[in-house]
Amino acid sequence: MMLKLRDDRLRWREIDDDVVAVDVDRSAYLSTNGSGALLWLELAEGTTRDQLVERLAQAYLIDNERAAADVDSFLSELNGQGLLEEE
Amino acid sequence: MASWAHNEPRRPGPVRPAAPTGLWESVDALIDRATRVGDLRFHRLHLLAAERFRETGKLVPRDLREAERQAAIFTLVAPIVLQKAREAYDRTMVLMKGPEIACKYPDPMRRPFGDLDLLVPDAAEAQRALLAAGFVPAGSPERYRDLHHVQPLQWPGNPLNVELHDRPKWIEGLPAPSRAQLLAGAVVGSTGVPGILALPPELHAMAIAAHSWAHAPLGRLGHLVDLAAVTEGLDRAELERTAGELDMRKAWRTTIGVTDALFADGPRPRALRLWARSLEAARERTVLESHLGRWLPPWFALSPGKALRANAFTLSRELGRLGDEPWTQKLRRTARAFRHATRRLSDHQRTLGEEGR
Repeated sequence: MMLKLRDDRLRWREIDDDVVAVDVDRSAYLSTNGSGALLWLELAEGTTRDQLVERLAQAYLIDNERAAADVDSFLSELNGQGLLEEE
Repeated sequence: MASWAHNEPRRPGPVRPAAPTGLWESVDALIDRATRVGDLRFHRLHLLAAERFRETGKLVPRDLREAERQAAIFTLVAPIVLQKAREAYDRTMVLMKGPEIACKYPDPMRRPFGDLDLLVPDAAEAQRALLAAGFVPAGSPERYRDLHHVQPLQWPGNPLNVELHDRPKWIEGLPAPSRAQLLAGAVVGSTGVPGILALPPELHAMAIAAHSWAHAPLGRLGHLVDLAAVTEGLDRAELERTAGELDMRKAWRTTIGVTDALFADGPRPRALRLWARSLEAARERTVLESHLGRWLPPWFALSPGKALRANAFTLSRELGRLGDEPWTQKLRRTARAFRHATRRLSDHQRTLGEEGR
């Protein structure tokens, strides 16, 4: 299943290793850095959970189990805020 | 604010040529010259400095990284807040400074702003309309009595203030242009929010020049970077003509002269040699420079008669006491100012605070 950040009414930008974002509908803002920013950028393009796990494990030289836990936690947070679209 | 992190090493980026060849290269050269990050923050160049530090492989201090994040949020939030304001009030709205200047920067996020200054036909009426639409007051009302804008407002959940102006802040001793004059010439703005207008470029340049004289005349480099960015590509004769129409030709010539000297390799004007020397070093003014900056600027902006009156006012303030402080304390304070003449003003003020004045 493809996962993608919502295109509509979500503004964000990358600064150095960080991403800051504003949810226009809720006037809510959030920031993420390091691994979160990496996952965010992948999600902006559209990706799958497994690809995210692989990408995170490679980038931070961590095992797949830990990467999967981190990815799931991040996706859950984004889902909770209504920022993800599933295709 | 949600946060998510693993540690990642930072990589230095490419280093740009050292010799200034244009506005932004000159700004980089000034940033390189600064000896304290605090000075860059004072001059409102800290966001540009963070980028420059990164490019040159220097560590970006934590507080600058935080300032960058905040600036990015403000930049993202600004159009949303402007849209809310536009929906709440149906008369003319002209955005001054802030995002209208930021769009002239290579990266708009690098121009700091903490509020949105909107010039409207009737600030009190606009204030009521925004409050009715859900905006909430920010700060204490007493602080804004008799100021050039009413109490700032915020859209709930948003950190950016909206300041509604009856008139722009102008140079002390010079007549500000009328509201009608400013609103009548308004043009389509650059924020992309429909109905949010901007001042025509020449008038906006004058407003920015006038603003650079508020508080400490030509006190902050950031104001002059703004002016250089906004006037880039504009016809100098047209700017001079606009300054003449607004009866601010002398102040304009001083301001643009200093700006050109700093960023366009122009001749070094007297203002820069006498009382605005700290700009060239990208540092905060010393106590002595701060005093000179109260006495001399009127002679570079006003007619001799007005300058004399401004000096008389300064004299009365300099000789007077602060509130009900005893004369002995006033004399001690004066003696310390002499001893600290070459210290940065904020260092001097900190010492006074620590010593209980």
